Amino acid sequence: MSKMRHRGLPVPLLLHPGESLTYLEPSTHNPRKAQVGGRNSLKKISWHDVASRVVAASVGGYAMTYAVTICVTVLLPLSRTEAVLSAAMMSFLFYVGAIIWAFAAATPMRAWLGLLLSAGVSGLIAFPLVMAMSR
Amino acid sequence: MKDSFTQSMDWLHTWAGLVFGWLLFAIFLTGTLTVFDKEITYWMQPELHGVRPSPVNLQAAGDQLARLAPRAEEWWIELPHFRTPEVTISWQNPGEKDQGQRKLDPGTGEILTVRDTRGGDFFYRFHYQLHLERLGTWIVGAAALVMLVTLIAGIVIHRRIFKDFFTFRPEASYHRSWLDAHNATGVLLLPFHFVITFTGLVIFWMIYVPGGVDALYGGAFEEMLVEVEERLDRQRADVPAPLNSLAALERQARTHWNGGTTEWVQVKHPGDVHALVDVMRRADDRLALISDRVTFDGTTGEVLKVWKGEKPAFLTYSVLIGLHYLWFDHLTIRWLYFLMGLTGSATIATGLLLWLIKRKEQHAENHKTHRIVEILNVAVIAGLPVAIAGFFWGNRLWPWDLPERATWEMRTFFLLWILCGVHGLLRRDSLRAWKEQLTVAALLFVLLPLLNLMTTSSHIFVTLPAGNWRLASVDLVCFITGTLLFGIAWRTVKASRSLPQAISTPMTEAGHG
Repeated sequence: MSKMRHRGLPVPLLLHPGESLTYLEPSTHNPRKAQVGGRNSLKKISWHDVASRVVAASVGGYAMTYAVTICVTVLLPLSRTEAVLSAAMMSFLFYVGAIIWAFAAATPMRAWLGLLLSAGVSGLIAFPLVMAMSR
Repeated sequence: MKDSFTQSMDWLHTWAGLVFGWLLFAIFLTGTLTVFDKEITYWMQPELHGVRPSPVNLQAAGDQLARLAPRAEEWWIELPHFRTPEVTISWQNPGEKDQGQRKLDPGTGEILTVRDTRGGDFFYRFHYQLHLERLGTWIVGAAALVMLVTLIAGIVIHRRIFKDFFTFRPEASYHRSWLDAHNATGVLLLPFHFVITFTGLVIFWMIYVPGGVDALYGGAFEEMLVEVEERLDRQRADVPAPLNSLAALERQARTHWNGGTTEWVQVKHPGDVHALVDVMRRADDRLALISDRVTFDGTTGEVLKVWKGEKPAFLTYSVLIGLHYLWFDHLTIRWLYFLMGLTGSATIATGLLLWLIKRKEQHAENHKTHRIVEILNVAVIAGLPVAIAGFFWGNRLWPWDLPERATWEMRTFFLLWILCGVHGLLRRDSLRAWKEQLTVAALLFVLLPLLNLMTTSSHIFVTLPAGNWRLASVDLVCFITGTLLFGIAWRTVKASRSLPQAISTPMTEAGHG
């Protein structure tokens, strides 16, 4: 309780001195946490790894989002305007997912593969349906 | 990417947050001001403060349009509202790029001479397109997308999310209190941050991800819009015919709605026998941003279409954008949005400061990147308030009849912002830079009510006794903001005396030549 005052002001909130909140901090009081995610154990990332993922996320991610959105649009059993709107609203969630994948995948190659594969599969499914609809 | 998903998200949150943080802070802060855009516009046009509110005189408005724009392709009449007491008429002449516009007294229809200003619309356009048209919309969209990603990454790295919210350790290591501030503000308003960012993206889906339109409409957006809103149009007949009574048509339109007021009257091909009159309902009493519409034959007055936008996906979309645009008129909610927007801006600002403070704590030597981040932090977080206050000062000080007056007000904003950037660059001691810019911002805000007193008759000593809270609030909020900024500036001074050496030492020449 001795730390309950700071610069003369009472701090009536819970205090957790010494406890590591996030993986941003090495914790001197909790050796197990330091092993799992302590800052000193984070591996260095090369710039081309980052660059590849950034391009994968932005360009590859957009390609995937665009393809998946079209796929969802033509697959939804709704009227034209309703299908377009529904898929459009979902599209941003797809894009967010793509970006997270781009940075969570174990290697940049996997990041690209995942995105291009999804885009490809969606395109394959959607293409004949789009052709049929525009006839 | 890293050893674990959480570590990868930690990396992503940090770096995406840094790279897009300054842009996001500016977007968030100007968005917060846009919540009260109509109030700001009203405050910035003192010539309108004497307009007596009155039900609209559509006949007079129509007569003005017939006089000013007899050969126009389209006329628009924006009806008055308690947030906008004047009537605005606009027209599009064939072959002209810009629309003509005038403001009218609602009751008499006489033209009002008002100082040329963008008003709150300036912050609105900065917020969604940085005044860079389509390119700006794309940049803001990218930033919003990254914000969503950063929010999710932030959630992933803060597993004990509720514990974080209730922790504040000002006595712990210096950067930890900034971390706690960042976490607390972020977690407290997580639903708001998510909703506002997501809905912001949804608004411009047609620009960002038009896949569906490309697939099913061959990219023809107009065709889709016409289909969604069941719009009607027809060619001119080039046969003159008198326009039906706009007042009568507007009255008739309102009978199709569940109460509610009219916002727009639009006339296509006025003066022609094939004229069409669209009367649109104001969406200020519902969450869904839908302007129900009645379309009349302009000559005979026959009802051609009643559109209510009831399809499910369209309703969902309208609610989503309604949550962002906040045309729903509820004063408490509007104020809540304002306060939440300020808190969100604080989340982003504390994140940017945290990035730098942590690294200065951990690295003895000065990196060039740290200096760049330091300058950008001051220039954006302290500089933007200076520019905003300067914008209001410009509105009161620029001469009434200055050509391109509205543009000069904008230039004041951007010039002041650039000056803050230069100041941040030249001041080696960043804490002094913070103190000086925050003090300038504080002074500009605190003295604004006084400037108002000296330049207009709509100042605090007139508006408060008259109970005109819409005007008085702008002065009061500016004054309070100024006092808060003084407080923060003072704390910066105190901090420079008690901070660990590593943080408060100015970047020396050795670090970056």
